[in-house]
Amino acid sequence: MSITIVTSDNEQFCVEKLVAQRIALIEDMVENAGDRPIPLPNVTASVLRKILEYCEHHKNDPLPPYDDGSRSRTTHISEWDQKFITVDQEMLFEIILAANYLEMKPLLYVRLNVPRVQCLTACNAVAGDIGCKTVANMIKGKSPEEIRKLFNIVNNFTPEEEAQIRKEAEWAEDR
Amino acid sequence: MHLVPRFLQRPLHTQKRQVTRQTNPNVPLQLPVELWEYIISYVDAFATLMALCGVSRTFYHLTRRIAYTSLDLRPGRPQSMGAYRSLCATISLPEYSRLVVSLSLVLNPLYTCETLLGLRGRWNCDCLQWESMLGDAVTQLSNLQSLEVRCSAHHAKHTYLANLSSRQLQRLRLVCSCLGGTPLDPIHVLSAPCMQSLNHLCWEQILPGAQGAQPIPTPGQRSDIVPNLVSIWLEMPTEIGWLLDQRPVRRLGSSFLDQALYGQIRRHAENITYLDIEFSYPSHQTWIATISPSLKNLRHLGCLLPDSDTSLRLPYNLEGFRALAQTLESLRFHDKHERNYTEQRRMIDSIQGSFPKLRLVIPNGISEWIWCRTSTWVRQERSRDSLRGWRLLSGGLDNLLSPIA
Repeated sequence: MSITIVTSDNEQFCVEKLVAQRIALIEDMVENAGDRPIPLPNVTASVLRKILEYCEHHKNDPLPPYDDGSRSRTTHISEWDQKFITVDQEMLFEIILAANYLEMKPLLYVRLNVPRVQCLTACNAVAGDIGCKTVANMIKGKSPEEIRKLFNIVNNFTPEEEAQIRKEAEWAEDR
Repeated sequence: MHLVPRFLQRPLHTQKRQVTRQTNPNVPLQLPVELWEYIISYVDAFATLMALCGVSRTFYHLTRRIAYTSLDLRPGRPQSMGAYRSLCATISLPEYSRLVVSLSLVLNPLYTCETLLGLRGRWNCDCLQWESMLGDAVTQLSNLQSLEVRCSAHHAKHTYLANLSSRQLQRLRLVCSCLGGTPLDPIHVLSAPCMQSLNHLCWEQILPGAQGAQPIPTPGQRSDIVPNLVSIWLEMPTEIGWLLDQRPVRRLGSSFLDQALYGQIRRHAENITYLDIEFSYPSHQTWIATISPSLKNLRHLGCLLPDSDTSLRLPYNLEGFRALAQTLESLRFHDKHERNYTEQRRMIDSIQGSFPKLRLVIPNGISEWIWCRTSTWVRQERSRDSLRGWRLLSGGLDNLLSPIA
């Protein structure tokens, strides 16, 4: 059995139900939509193609392991996932944002360290684990200036604030 | 309900954007603040966290909270008195002192003494100065819930422990082996107002005069001493053994098992939900198996020993613990072999045959994997520190078990 998904740029995807149901938002919508196509007005075709590629690969996986939000979480990414997420930064952000849109609440639950519901989806893993881990890995070892440049962030500190922050972090330079 | 803290709700230069590009395509895509916060939570290198603090005001607010909520200062970090001074100055600032919820310190004179060998070849010890500085800072941490101090300084008194401003302290671990220290009176510290919320305690002063010299509290003092204590971790026969007589301890962890502890386990058997003996021998295990019918509420058992070098023998070892089949949810055992996924999985299935309610298996050894059961068994990677001893007893197990209920 398959369902039809329509993206923001009006491309239609015919997707096996088992694969589509890995995305919690779609799973919810399938019940109400009947045979009608499911619109995803916030996701483009190129991004949905990537997310479906992930869902297809992981369709038989057990539910993702629980993440207790502790600081000791690993940034390890499996080999297939690593290849999957080797995309340009623009696409990386698009994937993270789309996954966030497709299943936002559990992602927030994770972030706020509130026990999340059991119905985690592979889609959350894209956003929560692979995409975000990839960005975290990109940040590692970078200076503030390098991080700003990498992500196009404006430095809005005054010189006095910058001096104060350097002073507060002085002790960590020894670490 | 506000899921995003108030400081995140003000206008930001990394303003939330629609998922699809609806504006100028030349403007690079940005992530909303809540996703940055999630991403930053994956960063554990402190130097990177500090770099993130210096990126922009938004990143400063996001990262500072993540970086300072749990401060784990491992051995030799910071590495100089100057750095300690700077750390103390920082965490004493009101906006930082409120942030620190968990603090773990390792105090070593190699790092806390500025000049070990001074003029005329005499030791120039800064330990007391250091302790006073750090003690002042720690007492100001008003939201502190967990404090771990492992001290081998030349001199330290740890008197600051009785003067903490936090009234939320739930976990305290003091392991002190100062050569020139004066034993701290546990009754004085543990009856202080800041200890009234304490749930988990490990208290070891391995210094001359500490063992056996401390007074036992009078009946009048007893009700004031850590009234909410439910778990104790013992690293050696301890000077606070009397607490086991006076509190309905439900969680007991120890790195040893002696005659006195046999008696305490027997005494608390019906209440105990958690029992973990770090370095047990086969004879200890046999003894625990013997009393297992009395351990009617036991949910966690560790740390079992396989009785041979082959993992396949382990389930036979568990035969003696059949009485725990209806309660045991978590099991930790020593495993000195490196096993592939299939071997581990076969072993887990075999163990579950004996304990149908089992949801968590922690092979303690080379592996840093744990196995959790929801709809099926899933293997997860965890840091080794979080899977043993004090950390497992004082909340680590709850973090692992509660989400897979």
